[in-house]
Amino acid sequence: MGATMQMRVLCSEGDQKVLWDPDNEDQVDVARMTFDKLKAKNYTAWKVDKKGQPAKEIQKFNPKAGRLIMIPTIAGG
Amino acid sequence: MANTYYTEDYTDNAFYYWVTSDTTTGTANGVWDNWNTTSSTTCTNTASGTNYVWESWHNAKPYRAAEEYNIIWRTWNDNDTHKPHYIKENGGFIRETILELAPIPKLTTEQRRAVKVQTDINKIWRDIRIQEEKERKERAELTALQLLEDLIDEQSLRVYKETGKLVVKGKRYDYVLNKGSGVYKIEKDKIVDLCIHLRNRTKYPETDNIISLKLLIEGNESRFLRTANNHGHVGNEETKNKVIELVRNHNMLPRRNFKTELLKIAGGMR
Repeated sequence: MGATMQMRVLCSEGDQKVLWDPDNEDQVDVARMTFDKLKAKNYTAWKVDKKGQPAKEIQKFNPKAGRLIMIPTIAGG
Repeated sequence: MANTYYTEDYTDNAFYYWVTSDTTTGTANGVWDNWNTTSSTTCTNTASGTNYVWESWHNAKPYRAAEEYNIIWRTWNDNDTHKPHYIKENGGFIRETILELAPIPKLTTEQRRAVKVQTDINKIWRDIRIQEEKERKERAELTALQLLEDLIDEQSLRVYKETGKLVVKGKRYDYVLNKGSGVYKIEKDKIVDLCIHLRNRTKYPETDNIISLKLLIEGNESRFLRTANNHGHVGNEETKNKVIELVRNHNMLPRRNFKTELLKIAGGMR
């Protein structure tokens, strides 16, 4: 069993976690499907590594991405 | 001199008020005190014979002006209630029956109790819903804060918890993100007020908004600047000083010549 990856999806409850093991195909599929659905809804995906390091935007799902944060649309006010 | 006559309540009567030029008391206050007939003869209500407006008319039986109750509208019906109203005195319409325009149904004691109990129940449910929503928002904010904690250092987190402000360094500018309000962009010699946030921001905890802006600034500052609306320079000295203090406390004095400006605003502190 590999290290657990996680996707945090911002929502009205703070955020929802999607966890997956990159070696578990079923879990990876669920995570990928979630990622794609959110991207279709104009969420942006950010890969977050170490604390204090700038996040990096990603366009395609990577099962070994580590930790992702999915952000809804941002607009000017 | 003309006299004006009123009825008690205009809602019930055919004529709420009318004017007569006859100043004699008693019978002179009729609706038609005087009038013209087709022969252009001026008649008065005291004239006899065929000079009345309705010298004779038919209701259940023919009436003449000289007869008792020979007033044209002795009774009439209200369109709303269909209650009859009467002319009580000669020369003026006086309401005889009391009209209740919007009668309030009388509740029994049991019904009143039931209404009160239902009102109390509604209030309790409303209070419960308000409390539940408040707790849900607090839980959501706490969750968002835990995520932010994973992204920033301890000192920044402490300041954020105390002040609701987070300093973020972009590649081109430094920014101060304000929880629940806008963003300050620190430019050369000035502070610019930006407005940018999650769409439907009220749906999300405020700290989720801060997280989103921080990631966007650090990951794609150009897009952040393209998206944000510029609301002009911050002119308020107090606000400026607060921003200065915040940046100073974080040892993140802005680049370029803004340092000079900061020191100038801060009163020559060096």
